[in-house]
Amino acid sequence: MSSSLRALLDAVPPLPVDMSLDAVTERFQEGGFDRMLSLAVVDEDRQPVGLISRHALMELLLNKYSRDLYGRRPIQHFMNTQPVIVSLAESTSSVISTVTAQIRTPIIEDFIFTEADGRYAGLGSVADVLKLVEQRLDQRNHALAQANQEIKASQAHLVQSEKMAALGQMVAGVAHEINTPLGYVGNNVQMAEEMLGQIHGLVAAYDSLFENLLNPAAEQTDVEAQIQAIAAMRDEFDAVNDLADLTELFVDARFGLKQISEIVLSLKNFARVDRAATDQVNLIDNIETALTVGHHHLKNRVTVEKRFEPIPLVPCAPSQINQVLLNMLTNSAQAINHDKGRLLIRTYTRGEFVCISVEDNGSGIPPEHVSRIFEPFYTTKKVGEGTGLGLSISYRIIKNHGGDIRLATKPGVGTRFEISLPIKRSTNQPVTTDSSSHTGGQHVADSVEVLQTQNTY
Amino acid sequence: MNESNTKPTLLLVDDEARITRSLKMLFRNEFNVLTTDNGHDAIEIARTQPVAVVISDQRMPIMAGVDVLRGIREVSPNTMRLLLTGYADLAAVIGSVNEGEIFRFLQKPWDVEQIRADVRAAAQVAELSFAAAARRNNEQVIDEAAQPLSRPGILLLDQDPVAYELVKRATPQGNPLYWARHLDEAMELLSAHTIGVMVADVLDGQASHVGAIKALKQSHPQLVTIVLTQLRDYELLVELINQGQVFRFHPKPGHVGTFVKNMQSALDYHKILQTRPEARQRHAVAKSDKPLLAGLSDRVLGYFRRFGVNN
Repeated sequence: MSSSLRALLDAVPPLPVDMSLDAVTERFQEGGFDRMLSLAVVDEDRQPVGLISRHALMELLLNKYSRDLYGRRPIQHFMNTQPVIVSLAESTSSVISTVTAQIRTPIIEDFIFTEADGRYAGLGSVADVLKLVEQRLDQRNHALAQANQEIKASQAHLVQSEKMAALGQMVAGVAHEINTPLGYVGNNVQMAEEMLGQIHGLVAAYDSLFENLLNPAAEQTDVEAQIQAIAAMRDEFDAVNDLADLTELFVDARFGLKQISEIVLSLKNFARVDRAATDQVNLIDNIETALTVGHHHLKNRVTVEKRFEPIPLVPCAPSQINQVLLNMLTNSAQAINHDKGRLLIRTYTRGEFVCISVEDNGSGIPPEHVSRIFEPFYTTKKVGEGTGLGLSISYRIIKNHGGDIRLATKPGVGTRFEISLPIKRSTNQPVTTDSSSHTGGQHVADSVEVLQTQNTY
Repeated sequence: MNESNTKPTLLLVDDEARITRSLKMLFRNEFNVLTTDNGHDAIEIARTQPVAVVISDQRMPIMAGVDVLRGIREVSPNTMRLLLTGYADLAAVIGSVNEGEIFRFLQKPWDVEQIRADVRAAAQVAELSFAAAARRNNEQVIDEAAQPLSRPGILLLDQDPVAYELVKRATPQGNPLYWARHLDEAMELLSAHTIGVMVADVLDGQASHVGAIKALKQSHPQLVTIVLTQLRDYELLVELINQGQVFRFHPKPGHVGTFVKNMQSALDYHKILQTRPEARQRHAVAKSDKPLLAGLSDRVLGYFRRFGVNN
């Protein structure tokens, strides 16, 4: 039995079924059970058979002569024979639902509690039950608010881990890109250093020979020894040819250093930490940056064709747009599961919008997935390979810029994504990172329809 | 005689010409250096002429490094194989051991002295292997069949009963199987019995077996090690290749059929190590930069001292 039920129970003594109306009236007048609106009536086995309320009693006594007429008649003729009865063996929730389902207004009676064996235990007040309901609602609200808070926190956490996963992948790729030039630059520099040591030895030997040759007092045997030493060094080290090689080593080293600085520069451009959050941006530069940073996904596998029509500057947060573009390139690269990959990137203007289209000849997206691909957490990748947040974040970023992402796809043929951004920033759509403006899948499905009617497949 | 014929051949495979150019210059005094950017060509070169050492990049357009090394292992098993990579995923590391049976896993950017030492060591081993192979061909001695060898034991070092079941299923009839829950038990079993193959997890609760696995390869060069683990740690695996000469990595729980094959390969390899002393050199380990036996109990250290490892 739950303790909250016990708290509702008031063990008021019941009335025997044969007690007279007069006696009952006196009992009510005596009082001692002021919180109660009624008293229970029980038979000789203490089984509840009815309930008599103050209200019913008063109505009865308001009639003229009723006490004279009925005063001696037993209470069982006047009582409510169908009171609300609940057992202390029930759960609190079940008691609450039984009582609240049978509430009659105005509330004039209480309800009866019985022991598990059905015998009378006491009375309960409907008002107390309502208080309990309110309390429970409060608790539930609190729990819901907390759950909501937790969901929000874990969603933010997931978005963050998607970002970290993307970042980790990028760093790994970039590490490979940098480690290769770093490998030969380091090797070449160290070889050059060793060679320089040999050259130094050789020049020093030549130098002392030269001095001895100029010195009339020099011993012939010394000169001969020096010549022999130089000959041995020449056998070991072919200065003229090796110096020519050294030039080549430095050409390669400089090339490698240039490559490393280009990679570092594009990483810097990618993050754009040194620029304002929103700026007038030439999107073609962003495409080039994303291509450099995402190079390792495409290298050796995918031919990139660029058809850039001149486009006006657009107001946007460049680092966010970079994130979207890298996501598009990565998706395309992952969709291409053969070695004749082709990626066509186009820029053009349509009305008041600047558009970037990324088209691959990859596996395409099956129709049953198309309407869901912008949904958060929707992924067809294995657990651990993707959180399914990449595209939903991209979608949100573009929507927050007042733009749109649309796609056309055909399984086995390829996919085309089109990003459009307004040339003039619309006043009612400020660029923010607010997450509340995600509009869900319906609009996307419409967009797919539109683009599919004009697609090139 | 042409000078290039007296030097051992080093084959470099990388799609970045600056890498092969740079390494060629580093090794041209000691080696006859050949270069290619293409795995098919590399395998063809190894088929048609004796190549002592091959260094291959991992990420290449036509053929991945692991596949190049596996191909070369098939056409020229005596060629020593090294993988050189700027970034390798775990699959590439595991593949390089299990399929390429590589001697060293090198990372870009490399240390010049280290790569020189590794390539020289590899070349010495290759010379022994090629010479022994030539001797066997000339003498036509079927040495393996001449000596009936006793069946070597298999040692499992792991607390996991599931691992025991797996190893039991893969152990052929006639090979005794010993199960050590802890390192000191393993050391006791190793000194009491002839063990050919050790299957070990790298972690035993909190304790790491990495140092012990490396040290055992020094004290027991004929011991073939299969690492059976859930751990997916790139750096650790590389360390176990270079300093522990682990023969196979088997992920837990993994595929039973594959494990049976791995066990058979390990037993075969142990037989080769026993009958051909020069083959043991193929497993020469790189020096560890940290003390191998740090944190081990005095009892275990005692065993290692008896085996001649004093690190």
